[in-house]
Amino acid sequence: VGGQRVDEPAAIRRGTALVALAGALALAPACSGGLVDTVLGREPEPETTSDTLLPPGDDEIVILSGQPLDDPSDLRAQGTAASATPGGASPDRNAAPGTSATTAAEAPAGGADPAEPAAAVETADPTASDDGDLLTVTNLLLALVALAVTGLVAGDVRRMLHAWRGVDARAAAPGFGPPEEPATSFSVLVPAVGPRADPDRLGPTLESLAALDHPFVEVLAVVGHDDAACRTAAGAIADRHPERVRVVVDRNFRKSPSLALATGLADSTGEVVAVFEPGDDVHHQLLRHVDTHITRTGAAGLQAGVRWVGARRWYAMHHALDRWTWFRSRLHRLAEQRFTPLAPTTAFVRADVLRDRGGWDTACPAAAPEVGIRLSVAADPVAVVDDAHLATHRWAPESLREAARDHVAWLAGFRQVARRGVWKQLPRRRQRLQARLTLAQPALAALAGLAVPLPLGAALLLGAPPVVALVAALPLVPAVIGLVVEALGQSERARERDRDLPLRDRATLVATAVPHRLLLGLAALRALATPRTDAAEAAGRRRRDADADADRDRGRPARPARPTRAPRLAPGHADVVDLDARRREPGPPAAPPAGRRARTRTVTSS
Amino acid sequence: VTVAAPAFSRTEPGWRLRLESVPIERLRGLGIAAGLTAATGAVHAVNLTHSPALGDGEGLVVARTWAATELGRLAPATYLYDQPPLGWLQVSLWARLTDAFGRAPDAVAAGREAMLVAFVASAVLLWVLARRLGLSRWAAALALGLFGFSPLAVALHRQVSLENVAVPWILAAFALAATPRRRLGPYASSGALLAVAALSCGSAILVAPALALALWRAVPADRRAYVIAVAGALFAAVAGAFVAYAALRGQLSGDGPSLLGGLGDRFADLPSTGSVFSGGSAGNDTVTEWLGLDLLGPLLGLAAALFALAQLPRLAPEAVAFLVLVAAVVRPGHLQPTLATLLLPFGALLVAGAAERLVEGDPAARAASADRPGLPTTGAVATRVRGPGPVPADPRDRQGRRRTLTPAAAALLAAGAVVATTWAGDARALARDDGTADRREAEDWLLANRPAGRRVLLDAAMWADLAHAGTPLDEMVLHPSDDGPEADADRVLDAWPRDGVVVSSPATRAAAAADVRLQALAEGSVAVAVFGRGDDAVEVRAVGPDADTDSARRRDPLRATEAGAALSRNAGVRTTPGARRLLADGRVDERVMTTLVAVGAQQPVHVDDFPADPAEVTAGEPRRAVHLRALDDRADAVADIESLLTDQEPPYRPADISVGADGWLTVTWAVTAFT
Repeated sequence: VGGQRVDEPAAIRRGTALVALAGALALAPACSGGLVDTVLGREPEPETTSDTLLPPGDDEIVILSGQPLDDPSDLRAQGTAASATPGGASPDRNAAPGTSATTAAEAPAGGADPAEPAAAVETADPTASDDGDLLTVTNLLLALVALAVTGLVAGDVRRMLHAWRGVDARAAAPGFGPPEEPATSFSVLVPAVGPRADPDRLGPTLESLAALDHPFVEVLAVVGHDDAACRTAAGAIADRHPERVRVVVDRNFRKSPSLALATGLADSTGEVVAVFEPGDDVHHQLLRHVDTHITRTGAAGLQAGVRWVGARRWYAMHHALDRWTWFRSRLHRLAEQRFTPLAPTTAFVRADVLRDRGGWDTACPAAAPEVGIRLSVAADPVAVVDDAHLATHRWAPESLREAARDHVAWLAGFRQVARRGVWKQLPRRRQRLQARLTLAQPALAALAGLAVPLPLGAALLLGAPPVVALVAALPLVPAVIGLVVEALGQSERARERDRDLPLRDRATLVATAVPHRLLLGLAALRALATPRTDAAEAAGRRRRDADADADRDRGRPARPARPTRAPRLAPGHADVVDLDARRREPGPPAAPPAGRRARTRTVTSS
Repeated sequence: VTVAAPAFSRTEPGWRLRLESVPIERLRGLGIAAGLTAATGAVHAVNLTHSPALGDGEGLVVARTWAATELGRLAPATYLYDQPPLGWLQVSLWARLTDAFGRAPDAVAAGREAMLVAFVASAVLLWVLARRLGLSRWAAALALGLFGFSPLAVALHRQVSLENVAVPWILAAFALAATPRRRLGPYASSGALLAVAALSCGSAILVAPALALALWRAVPADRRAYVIAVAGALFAAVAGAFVAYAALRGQLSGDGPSLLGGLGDRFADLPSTGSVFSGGSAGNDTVTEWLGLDLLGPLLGLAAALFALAQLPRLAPEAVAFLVLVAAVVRPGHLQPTLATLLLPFGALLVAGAAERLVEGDPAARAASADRPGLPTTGAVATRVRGPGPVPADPRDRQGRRRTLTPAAAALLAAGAVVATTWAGDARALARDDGTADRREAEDWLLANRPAGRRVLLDAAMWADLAHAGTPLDEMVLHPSDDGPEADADRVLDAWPRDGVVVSSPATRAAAAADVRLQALAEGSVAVAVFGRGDDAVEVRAVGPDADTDSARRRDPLRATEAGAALSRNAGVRTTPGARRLLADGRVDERVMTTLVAVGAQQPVHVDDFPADPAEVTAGEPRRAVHLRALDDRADAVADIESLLTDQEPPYRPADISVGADGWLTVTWAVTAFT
C-alpha cells in the first residue's frame, strides 16, 4: 500500500485544516449553546457558572439565614427563598420540597412555631435542581456526537471480535486443511521498487521463496532499472536458483508497486499469481496448502495470514496486534460479506481471472487491495484463510516514524481503493453504500478513537447535567472493551507462537493504548490529507477530453471497453506524459499516466 | 467458503421465509407457553390490588415511582443511594406510558399493574430459559405452573418490589447465557442484562456467580476469555453508569447523600432481623410467613437444588443461584422481606428439572439404550432434531420406561395432588380477600377531613396517594422513609407535626417501635378515626401540644351527658328516640349541641339522627354531624337555618351543610380534634 510521495507543505496545510475542523466540531456544542442563548436573548443559565464561581470551602459563605453553606447547589435553591425568610433555621434536606419558602411561611399553620417555615426552605434537593432542562441544543448535540462516536467504535470492536463470535472460532476464521498433491503452477511476484526497494530485505525473502516446497513455482523479483543494489541482490539469488528465481527489470520512469506488479504479471506464466513483499519470511509449506485450497474451493483469489514479529517497542506491539486482528478476525468479517481487499503481501489471484478483469490497476498505489475489491464486485470468490502456523512473517516497524508511515500507508490504501470507484458498479444502492462505508471504516474508526474522550470532556467543561454527561461518556465503553479484546488478543497471539507473555508487555500494551489511538488517529488524518492526485488529474483531463472519458472515469460499465488484457507499458510514452503532468501542476505529483489506460477497462459484473 | 455472489448481497433467508419455516412443533410449544402465561397471568391479576395487604417495602417503591413520574426526581425527598434507582424508574416508565397513576384506583394499584407486566415477561422468559436448558415441554410447563400458581409466588409477585422488576432481567440474562446459537453477542449481552438487574434491585448481584458459571460452562475454552471479558466489561459499563452518575453529582462520598454512604447504610447500618431460625425474630417471622403461604414449594426447591448440583449438570448454574440466595436468606443480618422473589424462578426451574429427571431418567443413558433420533445427548443445549412427521412409538422403549419409572411418576403425581389441594385454599384467599380496604378508607377520610395546612405524618403508600390527590408536599411527613432508622427518627422528630395528624399504619408503627422518642410522641396523640381492627388497623390520630387535655375536656362524660339530656328536653328541638339515646349517652359533640340550641331558638326543628363515620365511632370520637328538618312549613325556613349556621364563628361554624330534596339538612362540623 501507499508508496506515493507527498508534498510536505501541502500535506501539513491540509492536515492542520483537518485538525482545526475536528476541533471545531468537537467544540461546536460549546459554542452553539452560548450562541443559541445569545440569539434567543436568554440569560445564560446560572447553573453552569455558580458551581465554578463558588469556593469549595465549607464555611466560606454565609447566606442570609445565617447558615453556612454546605453545597453550592443549595444557594441556587435558596437564592430567592433565603432572602424571603430570614428566620430560616437548620438546613433540613429531608423536608418535603416542592414549594417555595414564602408559601410555607404564610401557610395558615395555627400555632406554628418559629422553626416551622424553615423546614420548607430547604428545597435544595440536588435531584430536583440539576436535571432542569435536558433538551437543549447543546445537550442534544453532545448526545448525538457521543452516540455517533460510540457507534463507530463499537462497530470497530465488533469486527475485531468477529472471529470469536460463533460456535467455533475456526468456523468464523478458517485455516487451511491438509495439503494434497500439487496441481497448480504459481508465479510469485516480489515488487521491490519505490519504498520497498530494500536489498537487505529482498535477498532473504527471495531465499525463503526459492525454498518453497512446491514443484511448479517461478519467483519473479521485479526491480527498478535504476536500482543497482536490488538488482545485484536479486541477481545473486537468481544465480543460485536459476530454475526458480528470475529478475524482471521495471523500466517505468515512475516507480510504484502497482506498475511493478503489472510488469511482473506480463512476464509471468503461472496459473496463480502470488504477491509477496521484500521482508517477508514465507513458510515453505504455504503454497501446497494454497494450491489445495484454491483447487478444492475454486476461489479466484485467496488471502493467507501475515504476522508481524519482533515487536519490542510499544508502537511495534500495537502495530503487530492491529495487523493480527486484521488477519485473524476483521478480514474474515469482510470475507463473510464477500468484500475482500487483498493485502499487499501473501495474496493469491488466478492469473486468468486477473487478466480477464483487467490486470493490476496501475493507477492505484494499493494494487492488491484494489484487485480484491474488483474481484468481489465481479462476484469472483475470494477466500480468506488464516493459519498462524503457515503465516508469512514480517518484521514489526523499528521506529515510531516507520510505524506511523505504515499506518498512513495502510489507511491511505483504503482511500485509494475507494477513489478508484470500482464499488460504484455494485448493482444496489444498499450494496454501494455498504461498500463505501466498509472502505471508509478503518479511517473512521481511527478518527473515532481520537474522538472518544471529546464528548465527555465537552460535557464536563460545559457542566452538562449528569444524564447528558453519562451519554457523553458512552464512547468509553466500546473503547475499553476494545482495549480488553486487544489485551486478550495479545495473549492469544503469544500462545499462537508458544511464547510466554511477560507481564511487562501486557502492562505496556494497556498503558500505551492512548498514545497508540493518538498515533492511529493522526495517521488517519494524514491519510485523509494525502493529495487527491488522480482526482486532480481527472479534472484536468476532463477539461480537455470529451464527456465519454469522464463517464468511464466514474466506472459506469455501460460502454464496450477496449481490450482488457494487461497493458504492456511503453516507458517512454509514460515519461513524457508524466513530465507534462508535473509541469501543469507543480504541487502534488500526478498519478502515473498509465492509470488512464488502466482505468478505461471495464469490469464485467456477470 | 466461496459463494459466487457480489459483495454484500444477501444469502440468508429473509424474516418472512424464516417465519414460514418455523416448525409446527415450535408453534405447539409457543401455544403451551402462551396459554400457561395467560392462565398464570389471570391468577395474578384477579384481585391484584386488594390482596395481599400492603407489604413492608411496597409503599416506598410506590412513593419513589410517583416522585419519579410526577416530580421528575429519584425519591420523594432526597435520593440517598440506598438502592440503585433503575427499578422504580422502570415502573415509572410504565406509569408514564400508560398514565397508571391517573387510571388506577390508588398508587399501589398502579405499581401492582406494573408488577403484572413484569410477571408476564418473567413467565415468558422462564419458558424460554427452561426450553433452552433442555427441559422437555411438560417440564417447562411444570416450571411455569409452579412459578405462576404457588400462593407464595402469587403473593410475592403481586407486591410492588424491586425484586419483581429485576427478575425478568435476571431470567433474560440466563436465557442469553443459554443461547442455542452460541454467539458472542448474546453471551456478552447477558452481562449487561445482569447489570440492569442489579441496578433495578441491588440483591440481584447475588446471582452473578451463577451467571458466570453458566457462561463458563456454555462457552468453549478457546473463546471463554473473550466472552467472559466482554460480558464483564459490559456489566461494568452498565453498573458503572450508576457510580459515574454519583460521581458527576459529586456525591460519591462525603457528607450528605452519597453513594458510599448509601452503600454503608445498606450493608452496615440496617438493623439485623435476627436469625431466621430463632423464633420471635423479624427474620423468623418473614420466613414463617413465606412458609405459611407455601411450605412444600421452598422445600422441594431446596431438595431439587441439591439434586441438580449432584445429578443435573445442565442446571448447575441455576442450582448455584438458588443456593446462594438461600444463603443470603438464612445469613444473620438484615433480611429483605421480598428477597424470596428472586428464589422463585430458580426454584421452579430446579423442581421441574428434577421432576423430569426422575420421571424420564438420564437422557444420556436413554439415548444410549434406545436408538431413537432426536433425543438430547449432550451438554447444556438440547438441539432436538426432529424428523419429518411423528416419531413412531417404540414399544420396547415405552414399556421399559413405564416399568422402571412408575414409582417416581406416582410419587410425583401424589405430591402434585397434595400441593394442588393445599394451594387451592390460599388461592381462594388471594382471589377474594381485601387487605387494602382499610387504607383506602383512611385515605378517603383524610382527603375529606384533613384541614388545609395541617401537617400529616404518614407512610409512603399513603404519601403517594395523597400527593397524587393534590396534597401539598410540604404538608406531609414521610415515615418510615428510605433513610436509616436512626436518621429517620431524627428527621421525623424535627418535622413532627405538633398540631397535626398522624396516620398510624402497621408500617409506621413498626418504624416508630424502633425509637422510644417516637413512641413517647405517639402516646401523646388521640385516635380520631380507626379503620380496621387489630394489628393491621389504620388509625388517624390527632397530635397537639395539648392533645391530652383538650380531648379529655371534650370527652368529659358527665358534662356531655348533662348537656345532651338538657338538649333532648329542649322544646325547639324535637328528637327521635335514637337521637335522644345518643344525646343522653354524651356521644354528640359539644358544638353540635350548642348550635342545635341556637337553631331551636330560631325555629323548631326535628332531629332525626347524628350520623357518624364508623371509623370515628370506633375511635370513640363524639358525633359531629346532625340530620335535621325544619318543622315550619315556611318557604324560607331552610334558608334561615343555613344562614344561622354559616353566621357562626369557628369552631361553631359547620364544615359542610348539605340540603336534601325533601328539606332535610345534613350539617357536619370539622373533626373535633382538629379544631
